[in-house]
Amino acid sequence: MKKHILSVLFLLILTLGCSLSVFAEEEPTKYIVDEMGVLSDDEIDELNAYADYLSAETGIDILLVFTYEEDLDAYVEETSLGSLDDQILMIENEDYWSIFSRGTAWDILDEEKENRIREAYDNEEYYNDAVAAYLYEAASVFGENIDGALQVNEAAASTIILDKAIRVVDMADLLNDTEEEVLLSQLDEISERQQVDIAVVTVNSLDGKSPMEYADDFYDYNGYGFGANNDGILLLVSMEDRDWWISTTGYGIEALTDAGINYISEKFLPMLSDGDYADAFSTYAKLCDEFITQAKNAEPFDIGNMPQEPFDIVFNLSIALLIGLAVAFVITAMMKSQLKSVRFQSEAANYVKKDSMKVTQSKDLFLYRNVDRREKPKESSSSGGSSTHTSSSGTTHGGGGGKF
Amino acid sequence: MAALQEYKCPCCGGAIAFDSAVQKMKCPFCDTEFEMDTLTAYDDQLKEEQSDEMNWETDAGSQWEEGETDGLRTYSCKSCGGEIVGDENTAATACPYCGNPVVMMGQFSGALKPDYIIPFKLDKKAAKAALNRHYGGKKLLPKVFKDQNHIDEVKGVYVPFWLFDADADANIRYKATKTRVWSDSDYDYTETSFYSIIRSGSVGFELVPVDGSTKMADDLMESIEPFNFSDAVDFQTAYLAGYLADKYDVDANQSIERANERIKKSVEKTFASTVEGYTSVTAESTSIHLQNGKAKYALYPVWLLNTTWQGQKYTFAMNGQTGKIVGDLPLDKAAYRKWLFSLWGIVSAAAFGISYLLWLL
Repeated sequence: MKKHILSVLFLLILTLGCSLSVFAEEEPTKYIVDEMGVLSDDEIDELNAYADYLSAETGIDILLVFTYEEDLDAYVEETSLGSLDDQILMIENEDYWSIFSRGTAWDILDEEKENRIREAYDNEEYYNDAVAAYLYEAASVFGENIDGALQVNEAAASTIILDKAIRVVDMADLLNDTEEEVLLSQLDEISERQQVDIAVVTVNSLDGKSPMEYADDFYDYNGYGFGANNDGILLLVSMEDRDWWISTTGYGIEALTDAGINYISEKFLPMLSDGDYADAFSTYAKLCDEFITQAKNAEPFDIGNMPQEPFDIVFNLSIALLIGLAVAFVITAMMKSQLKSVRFQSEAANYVKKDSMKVTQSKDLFLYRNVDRREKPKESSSSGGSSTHTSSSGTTHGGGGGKF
Repeated sequence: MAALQEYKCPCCGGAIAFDSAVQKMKCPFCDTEFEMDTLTAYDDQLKEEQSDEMNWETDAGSQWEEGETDGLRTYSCKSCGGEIVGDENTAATACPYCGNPVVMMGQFSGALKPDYIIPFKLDKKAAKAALNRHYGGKKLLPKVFKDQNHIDEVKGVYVPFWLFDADADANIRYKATKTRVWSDSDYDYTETSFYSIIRSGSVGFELVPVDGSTKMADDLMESIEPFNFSDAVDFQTAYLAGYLADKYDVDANQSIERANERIKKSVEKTFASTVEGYTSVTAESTSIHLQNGKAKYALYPVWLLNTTWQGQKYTFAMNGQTGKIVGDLPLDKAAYRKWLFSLWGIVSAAAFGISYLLWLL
């Protein structure tokens, strides 16, 4: 049990207080260090945020390092990550990987628990997934043993927790495999490009939550979102009572105003109601993309600044034809009237004697007055922007929804 | 039986006629010109000579069967002796045999004598040129009609007109409304105020013309108005030489209806223009009294041009004084359809383009 020995060693080093100074003044938010370059920057950001969240929940820093350094013990001695107490550190180089633990983490971890974490890490094919699995497994190991952390996770318990944030979660099975694949690649492409997660979740039951709560919790507990603010947008469709809800987080709140959500839903709701789910979701994705682009480049779409309706060829053409016909009739009627020049004179204005007109009596009598009062069409009172609320995990979300 | 007058050139004996270009009598044979005043005396002189001629006039008429001569009169030409047949209103014409202009003096004797005449200012050539201009610029006129433009007949006609002078006393009640629109935060208000408006007064009309001949279409004659009365002169039969003329067959009392109609309309309109500052004005009751009504009898110069196309007769009338020409023209249906559809296409395409541009903005 090499790693066991290593962790003992690590503890020894700490108790001796040999290199305390090395650990001081390190940035505490850096949970994931990738010197080998196996993760993309995005993935590191995402995982860091996830680790930050889990660490805060459990009270134990969950760390991970990829390094070329051959001597892992020496590496741990020389560098430090996270706070000094209560941490678990997974460290891997080209040859092997190992787990170090300190403080409460060291107290909690036994062989069985460490194996659970190892297996979670080992079972994943890709680094990104493996790290996420490690973080989650470690958090759940510590969560079971720390009173405070257990309670916090209760909200998450009724929400399905994914190993990793997948952007299409079709639990209601509204899409076939091909549609799901196409949608996923579309969402992935947009999300990566915009650095804002766009997700679609379908469920058969809301487990007694409101659509808003379910969508927010699903978003929060599955680690969606880019960057420090967890930028993202999630569309939840529940077949239970045919509810839909768009939950926005971070930059998503800014990009999708209340009016914007209204606009987007108007576009995809008819398809949703018709059971044309693939098109509805694809429309939603496209519009989210458009709205985020607009928000990044200029003012976000909002009241008075809505995206342009597509050019309605049939409507415009028929109006143009009507106008054309009317104008053509008027012009040809004028041309026709040139042909007719014989008509009776209705008046004798030419024969009025000059200055012969005398007005002897001129009376203007006021009779009565009518006042017609008509109610003004009500202008919508909303001044635009996004309304927000706080979800059970304390994250701020925007959003909107309804039935379909 | 009526007398026939032919103006003969005192120099060469040829038949002379009124020349609109020089505004004098002119002999077409020796180019001698005569002042109109000189001819007045000459005219009187000739009238006296006329009495001898009346005898053999009766024989000519006796050949007609009973009833057939109703409305017809025959004259014999003093130059060639040929028989000239005219209707009861014909007052001036040309001999169909020798072409000499003749005037039937009897048509203008006594109470039938016109008060005024406006002599022709424009000649036959001007009338033809005016007709060509009339054809121009009309895109729906069949091209063939323009190209095959042969005028059947060009006639210079003195048309009898009744001229009415009257002072109109009007008493008119109008109903008028004023609208005011305003709004507060919740409502739009439209206030309509109703007014009763009374206008009384008088306005004078002079020389309102009414066509006194049934041969001339009334609308055609009204269309070439106005005539400028300042050119009118006292009537002399000599002016008729070389033109056609009819005496009136609708008397002043019958004609006055039409004049009243026009005067009434004009009065209403003139007084309505004094009702200002209202959104809408409608006349509710109108009472108009005409006073000092006087009627004059005048001959106005009109060029009539006739042409036939596809079996239909087209008549054009030109004001012999001002040159204003009127006359309805046929419609080229194929050209009309072509214009209608091409305009429809072009305007629709333009409208569609504009709507797209507006959308892009």
